[in-house]
Amino acid sequence: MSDFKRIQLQWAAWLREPNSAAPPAAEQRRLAVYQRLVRNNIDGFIARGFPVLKSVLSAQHWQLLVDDFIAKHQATSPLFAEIGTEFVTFISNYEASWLPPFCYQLAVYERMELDAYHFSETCRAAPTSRAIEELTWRVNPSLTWHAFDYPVHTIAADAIPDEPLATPIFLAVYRVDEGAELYFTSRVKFMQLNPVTMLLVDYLQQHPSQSLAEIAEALAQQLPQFDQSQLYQGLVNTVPDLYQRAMLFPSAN
Amino acid sequence: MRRIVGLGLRREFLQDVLQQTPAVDFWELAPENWLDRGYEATYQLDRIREQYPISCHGLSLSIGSPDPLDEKFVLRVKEFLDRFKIERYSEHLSYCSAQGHLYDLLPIPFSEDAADYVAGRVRRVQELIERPLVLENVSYYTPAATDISELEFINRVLDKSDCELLLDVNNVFVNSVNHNYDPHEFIRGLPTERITYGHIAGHFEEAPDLLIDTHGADIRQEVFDLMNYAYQQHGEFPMLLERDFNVPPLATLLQEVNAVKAVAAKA
Repeated sequence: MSDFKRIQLQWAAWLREPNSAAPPAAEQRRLAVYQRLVRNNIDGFIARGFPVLKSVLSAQHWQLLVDDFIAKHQATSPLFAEIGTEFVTFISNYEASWLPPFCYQLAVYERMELDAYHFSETCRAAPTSRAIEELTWRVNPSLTWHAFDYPVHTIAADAIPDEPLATPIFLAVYRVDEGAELYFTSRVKFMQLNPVTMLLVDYLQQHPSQSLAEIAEALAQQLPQFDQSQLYQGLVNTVPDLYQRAMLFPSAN
Repeated sequence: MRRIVGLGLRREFLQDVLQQTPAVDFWELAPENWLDRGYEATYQLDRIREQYPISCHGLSLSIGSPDPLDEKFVLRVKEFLDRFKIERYSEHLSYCSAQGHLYDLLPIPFSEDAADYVAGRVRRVQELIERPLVLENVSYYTPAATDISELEFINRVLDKSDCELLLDVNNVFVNSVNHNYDPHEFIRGLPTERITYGHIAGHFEEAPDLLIDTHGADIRQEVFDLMNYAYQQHGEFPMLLERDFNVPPLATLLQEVNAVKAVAAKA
């Protein structure tokens, strides 16, 4: 290896683990500037991306977590907005006795908001004058949902769960674009899905552009406790609400 | 000749720019802050581009990294430049990754080997983006190696890669204090024909012999003077005002843009 690369790797190793790696040959006061710049920058991105996670950890544990992320995670994304994604990957494999068991799922949930916001397509429900039974439907393309073992949507410094939930909850996050021209706004919305709505969303994400009758037929196979006409009636009742919330869009007018 | 002065575009005042369309010659932005940032960002950038030229100033290319060049990323940047019809792509003569990203600009060891290595990567980037790469002289707080001088290092990279130079006059000033050299001599030693773009900004004095390139304060008179000197030595080139911390209201920044224009006009 060339000398200059060896020097660069020594710098990087020391920046990542200043307490155990040998410092580069330079004045300590000047090297310290780099240590501070790297740490403050990365800490800032993670703190802004995961404010709830930060609020439920002590300052000392937060510091340990950020230090270990810098020391142990090899980030591949050149985009600052993806430092949070790198952090979620890191925390999925992170083990520490002091880390509450819900932290990974909380980090996933907090990141879903930014991913929805950064989704590239427009997320606008076109108005329609046709009856919902005549339309085919698709899921808002920015929507993601996950099953969580903890009530990650209500966790706060004064609301820390001791145990996992008896049954998982399904939480969806999606973006809605509203308004015109310069005053156009994007808002991220959060929604708890009941098990049948979760199946509906899951089915439509995999099979976009389905009519209510087609959806009812498919769901009937997954929900043998209901017959198809009951499911169809259920859809007639709930789809307008999901449309109004901009979770579902008509796929063609 | 009319002087061209641009301003770094920030989300803090993006709505003001869209609504007020102030008289600014061009805007500069980091592609890393706009790539994959959602429909709203793309929409806003289209509106800006309809009314102004845009320059791109990258942060994460890591041209001097010991890690392999991220060609996929370079191609994403090219796609972004093409999408918004942006001609100028500048970056830092520095690196920000070594066995993974560290997201901050680090000084490349000043050696002939390192300069030749960087020049090879610059040539590859220029092939991929089908444009010249414009490289900025970066500020640094301690050199990582001094086999050759900073000036020799920069000139060797420029020469061997046939790329352009972004002369950051604030960085020259910061480095001249931090490393105790004559900033005028440094500026004189740069090749006139390669200087196509300039940056100016404020800095923070941590100690009399340690300035930090924060882009968080007003431009100091010594830096205005250096800009004047650079124009005298090398002729006019477009100048960009950078402000990344303690960002004041747009109106205040526009006053500083005008100050840069006024200084340039006296040159």
